[in-house]
Amino acid sequence: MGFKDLFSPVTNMNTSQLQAFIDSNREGDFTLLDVRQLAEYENARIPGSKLIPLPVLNDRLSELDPQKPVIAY
Amino acid sequence: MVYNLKGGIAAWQGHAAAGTSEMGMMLLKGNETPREVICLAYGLEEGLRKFYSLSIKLAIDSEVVAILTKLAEIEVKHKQRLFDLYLTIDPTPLKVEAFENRITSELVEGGFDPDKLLEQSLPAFKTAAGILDFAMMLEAQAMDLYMRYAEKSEDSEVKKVLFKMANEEKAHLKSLGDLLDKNMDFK
Repeated sequence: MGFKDLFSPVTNMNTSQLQAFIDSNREGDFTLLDVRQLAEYENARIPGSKLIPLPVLNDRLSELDPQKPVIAY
Repeated sequence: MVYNLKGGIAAWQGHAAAGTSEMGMMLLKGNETPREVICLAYGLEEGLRKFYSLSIKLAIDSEVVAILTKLAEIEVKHKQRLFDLYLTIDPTPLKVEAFENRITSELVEGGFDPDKLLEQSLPAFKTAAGILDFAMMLEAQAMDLYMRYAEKSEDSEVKKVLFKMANEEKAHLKSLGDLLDKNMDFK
């Protein structure tokens, strides 16, 4: 995922599609990206999510593997 | 490819994980070998098996006892899967008895203290559905913990093992969901 991706049209996925995606892909082959704030992440998150709050996302893009699909919420 | 989850976390209907990103992380320094992380996970599965076995003594309802017994049996299978994984990575593997002698099982899956967990979860232990829901919560936490371990680990082989373990937890979560559905069908 590169900086430009932040401004590219993204595909929406509903929760049923996400569940099907998670079920059919191995952990480690995709990134669930939680872009909310820390307190929200700690309160409830989709298991296995990586937290990078939106305000610091641009600075931490290098932490994401560009080869793997990213599902952000 | 970037996807956006429509509706965000509020729309998510699966089990959620909660707690700080450091919760349970004291068990891992980040420089463990694949064998060490498998031993760690094995200990957490054994901790949960013991937890369910001890909880049976507190249960009165026969249906609750049956579910707790089933969950304890399932943890034995989970341990076997981890031992099978261990056999694939250790060129000179120990026999299961010697392997188990190296295991610490004071915590349960997800990195929880069993006494505190029991105190917090007692209300859920009144019904079979409540216990299954509780068990699914633990599997979700365990999956989340292994993914955080993978993030922390510096070794690509260890990451692979941790991803496999997270996949196992995902499968456990699904089978418990199926069990819960069957349980609901009986009502």
